[in-house]
Amino acid sequence: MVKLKPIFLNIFLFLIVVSAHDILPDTANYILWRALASVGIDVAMTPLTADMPLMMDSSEPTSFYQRKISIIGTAKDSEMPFVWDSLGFYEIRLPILLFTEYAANDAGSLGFTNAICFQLKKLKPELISFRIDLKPPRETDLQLGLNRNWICKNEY
Amino acid sequence: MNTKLFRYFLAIHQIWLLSFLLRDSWSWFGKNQMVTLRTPDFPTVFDFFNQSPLIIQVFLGVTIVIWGLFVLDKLNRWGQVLLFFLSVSIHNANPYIIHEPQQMVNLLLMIQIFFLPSSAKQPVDKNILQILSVFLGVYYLLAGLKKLPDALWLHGQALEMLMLWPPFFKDNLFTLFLKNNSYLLVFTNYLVLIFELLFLPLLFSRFKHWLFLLGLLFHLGISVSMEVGTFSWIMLCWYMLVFPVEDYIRTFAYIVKSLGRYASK
Repeated sequence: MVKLKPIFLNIFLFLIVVSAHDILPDTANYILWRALASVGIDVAMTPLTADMPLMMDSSEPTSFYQRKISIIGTAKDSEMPFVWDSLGFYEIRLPILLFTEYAANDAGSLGFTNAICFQLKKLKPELISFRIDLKPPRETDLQLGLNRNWICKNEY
Repeated sequence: MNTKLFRYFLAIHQIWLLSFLLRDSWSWFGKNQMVTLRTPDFPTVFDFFNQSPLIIQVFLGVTIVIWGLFVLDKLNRWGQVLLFFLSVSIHNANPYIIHEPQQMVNLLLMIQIFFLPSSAKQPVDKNILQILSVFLGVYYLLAGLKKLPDALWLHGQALEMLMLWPPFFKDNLFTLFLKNNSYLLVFTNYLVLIFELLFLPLLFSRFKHWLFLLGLLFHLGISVSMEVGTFSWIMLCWYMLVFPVEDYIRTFAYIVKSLGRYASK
């Protein structure tokens, strides 16, 4: 008798691989991704270190990984830099890494913006907006959501 | 092969993370943010509550207790379904765990519910184990293939370049040692590529045992040197399913014992 469990497991894991690598046409892939994501199993199968071509151009001396990162908060009349090492990994640094990754992929990054605002406001309640600064700057920075101000909503 | 060690690893990961949330749940769940930050229309039990701190604490506490029952093998199939529902609810409500390890935990829990025996003492079907092994191999293979077009990885400069990026690398003695030995970084760069690309075929060869040791060192190295959250821990959960780790531990203990006896003579 044919065992059904291994067949189902094969199909199930195959669908995860398909979804993670955008193998299907856009709409079909989105439907599949949503189905998997709604039950929290949208495994990306992409380590951060494999995204280097997205973030950097090896012929470019001012590529993402080689630049100095800092977070600048703005209040009414002033700017306040946050020391990167003083920011919690899960609270701020990870959302920022994901934010830049998502922005690079042209995916929605609003959730991360809210999350970063919420955490930074705990450190500086008067915060109005924040900016992820990478120095020296590059032309593509704005598209990646870098070196521009993100306004924090008031309700946090 | 049973699933005892796999359960320990999976549950420790979740209890550890949830205990952080339990201590300061508002640090993660901002008021009126829990549901709205990520994908608003994904299901989460928080939709039905007023997002009060007390309810969140109780909810997290209950989830930790159920993970405890899972480790103790006191949770039947329906209990595991409840655990999955609770875990996904927290995941869908929480903007900060949009990160590979939590998706992996959810996936492993789903596999546990539908494809592994409900009790940790029962043996796992060999066909299921082979499919899970192939998936792990494909995971590594695709990660390796994604790195291949990158000139930095091909020329052995990727790790050296990553070391220059403070958000990614941890500042400790191990990374300091790596930074001072650039030949080691080049060697590790190529070793990582070869490991990822050959993991799948080697998994079904007589080198399987060595692959476990290399993988273990590989993930310990990542864990010590890189800011990638609990990624390494979750990969070790897969190892607990795919490799006969209990046999390895027994063999290791036997060797240590024999050496001890030999030394005392």
